[in-house]
Amino acid sequence: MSGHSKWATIKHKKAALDAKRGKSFTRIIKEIMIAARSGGDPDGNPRLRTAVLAAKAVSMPSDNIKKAIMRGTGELEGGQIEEVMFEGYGPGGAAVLVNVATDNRNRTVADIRHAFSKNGGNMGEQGSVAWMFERKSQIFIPHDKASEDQLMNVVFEGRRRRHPQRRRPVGSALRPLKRTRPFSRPWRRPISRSRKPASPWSPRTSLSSKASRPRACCA
Amino acid sequence: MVPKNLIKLEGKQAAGMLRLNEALEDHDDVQNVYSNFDIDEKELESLSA
Repeated sequence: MSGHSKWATIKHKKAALDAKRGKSFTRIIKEIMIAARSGGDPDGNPRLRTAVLAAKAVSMPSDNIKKAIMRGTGELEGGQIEEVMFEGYGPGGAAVLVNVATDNRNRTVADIRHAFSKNGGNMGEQGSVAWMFERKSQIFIPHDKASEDQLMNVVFEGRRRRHPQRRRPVGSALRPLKRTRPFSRPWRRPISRSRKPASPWSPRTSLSSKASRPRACCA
Repeated sequence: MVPKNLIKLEGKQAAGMLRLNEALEDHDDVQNVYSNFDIDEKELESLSA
């Protein structure tokens, strides 16, 4: 890769990095455009908010973000982008779902089909593998930030307080605890008995009863 | 999207699956690729090396 100066090496590396960065830019811009179709205000549109945060994380200029939102809402002219899910099988029969945002569906179908067949897979019909997947949220936490015990406490606290707003004002969940108990595996205790959060790891926000069941928490 | 079950891949199939994954992710229009393959960590290391 390298020529006969150090700059030659750096140039190669930089070009590769720039290409990658540029690509993730277009990816994020498309996500913003799609998200903005259902409302151009990030405060009222969680998907847009996430997309904008992702854009900021790669330090995209806010002008670009604004333009992408306006193109999504239709305030600015721009190609219609649609979101499609392609399905297929990889080598060995593994199921593959490909989430695509494109302004020209036919071109993309051909490209994806080509990628599949060239790499020992084949593209399937709509619905052929999607049933093998579930749409779930995932929460990632750096493993040095909290131990598994602490996380389990958070999850089970969420279950114990099913209707925090009915028993007491939501705000009271936020007040500092007068007395903290040690982490003593509270999930072994009957869930209904203790109402007080046993750990300082109580949720900051309360969700409705359906959403706060552990299934949604740990999914 | 989270797969309900995983399919274990080894050797040639694992290598092919990784190549397919890469080819798909490299496409400009692709936002996300989900798959249910499962490759042993040791195998993955030897493949990416």
